[in-house]
Amino acid sequence: MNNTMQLDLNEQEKKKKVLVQALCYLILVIGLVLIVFPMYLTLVTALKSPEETSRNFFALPSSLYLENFSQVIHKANFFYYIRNSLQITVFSLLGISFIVPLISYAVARNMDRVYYKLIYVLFVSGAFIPFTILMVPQIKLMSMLHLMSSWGLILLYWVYSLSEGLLLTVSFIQSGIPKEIEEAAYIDGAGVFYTFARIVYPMMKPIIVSVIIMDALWIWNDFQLPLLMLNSSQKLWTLPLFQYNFQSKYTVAYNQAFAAFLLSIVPIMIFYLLMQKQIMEGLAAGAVKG
Amino acid sequence: MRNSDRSFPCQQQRGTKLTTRAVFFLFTLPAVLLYLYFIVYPLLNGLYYSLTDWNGIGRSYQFVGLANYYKIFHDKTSLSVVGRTFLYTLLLTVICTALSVFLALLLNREMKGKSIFRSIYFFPAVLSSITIGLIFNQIYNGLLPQVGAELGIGALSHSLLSSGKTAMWAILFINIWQGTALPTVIAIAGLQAIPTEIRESAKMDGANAWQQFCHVTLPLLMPTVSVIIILNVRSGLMVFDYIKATTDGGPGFATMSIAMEIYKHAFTDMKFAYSSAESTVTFLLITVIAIIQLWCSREKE
Repeated sequence: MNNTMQLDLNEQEKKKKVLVQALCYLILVIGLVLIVFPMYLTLVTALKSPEETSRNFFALPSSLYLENFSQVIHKANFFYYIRNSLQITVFSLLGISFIVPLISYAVARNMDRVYYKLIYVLFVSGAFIPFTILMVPQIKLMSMLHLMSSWGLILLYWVYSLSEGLLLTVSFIQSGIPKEIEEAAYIDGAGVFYTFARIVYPMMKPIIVSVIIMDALWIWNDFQLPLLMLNSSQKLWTLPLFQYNFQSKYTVAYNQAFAAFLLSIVPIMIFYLLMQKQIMEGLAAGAVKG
Repeated sequence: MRNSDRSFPCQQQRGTKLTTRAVFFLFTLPAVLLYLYFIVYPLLNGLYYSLTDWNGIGRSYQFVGLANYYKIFHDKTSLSVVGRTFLYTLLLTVICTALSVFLALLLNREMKGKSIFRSIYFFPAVLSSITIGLIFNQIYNGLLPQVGAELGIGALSHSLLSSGKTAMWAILFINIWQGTALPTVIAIAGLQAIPTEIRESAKMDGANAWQQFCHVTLPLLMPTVSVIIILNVRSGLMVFDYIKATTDGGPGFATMSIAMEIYKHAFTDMKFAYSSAESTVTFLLITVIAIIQLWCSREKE
């Protein structure tokens, strides 16, 4: 008697568990549909002719219609803007992967000196200053210096990467790179720069990679800074600026607009598929520390 | 001092020690110069301009004291922009935070296809906000009204963005769509940091799922939640890209945010000094909010 009751209870418990699990799935699938739906619309609209879209916006395309893409690539010169974005991102990252480790190493190993402590506090508090507050006087400064160009933009990305980069890298050095190794190098007569370049920098690789991934996504996707700096000269447009201006120029031809969006999403999607783990960890860590 | 002496035991001679110091100083130089010239200097400059009547282009300007600040606090549009941005931020923060913790709880369960769910839920975070804004702009302006007309839903037959009543909500939806992704991953990481034994023991003590969440999980998750709140408050107060991609502040002033207003005043309306004053006021507001947040999280500890 007792035994069967126990069994019944177990059975009930099991049923409840299955029900809860099913409910979880249901909610997650609804969320999934909400996320995927705009992406799906982008895909099918980009692959359809305007006539077919107006007949049915949700259906899959009846045949492979590539005219939209050829318009975006040939007439609107899509790959030219990809190249612009790529150039800006690469040169920004090259600078960042040099400047940030350099100062981080100096600060991490001299925290007991006033100057370095001061730098640390000043830079880290900078992470709390939103761009909106700086943009007006900063853009003025850039235009006075005749730096409203790709190089000026790259320079600003170097500047804006400092706060978060320093914060993450200093804590990595302090907790992850033992001083003894450097000391051994010093005993062998190596100078600071040699020790940094040959011993410390290679050991900093994991954190440099995280910072680079984080900054790469931010720079590649950024809209506000390029809008302020480069919007007036079309030959300097980055990919986000191209998308923005393309849409306002072709408001009616929205199949082409969607083709442009789709083409812009593809590189990021490939990057995401390849580096998903690092991207998730990097972005989450950056947000938590910053 | 002593600490660093011990770290370089070989350098007994003064000469090497001085070079070591000099090299370390040189290491900091590029970053420090960039930072001072492109962050600190403009910040102070903006403060100075806010006390003038400069239009941003002309050669001459006058010192007008606090007149710009006086104007801000007596301008109904400016005040309504601040109010709207605050309401927007509040809604965004509450919805995104709750949603991300809820989703993280679901995505942290043992289930099939967990990693696929996670990858798709995180995907919006890697896309450009301008791409997302533009896609939704097309959906709101082009697709939804057609669907609404076909299905005979009156409310949908006009673009949600073209009415002052619905435009801000439509933009908020875009922001939530993209803005929940990153907090969800952060919340999952926070959940995984909670030792499972604690939850198990609560279960043993007969706590049901809701009690477990309220009395065990949530308190332990609070540091993560406050990070998520800070993240959302920041992005809400500074919202710009989605508005630029959709309404550009319109119809009328219905979707003007603080960032949009500063941008418009400085770069299209030639009210350079005035927008500098607006930036300064925003800076003060954000500092106050940051202090309150810090104080709240200290209090809890």
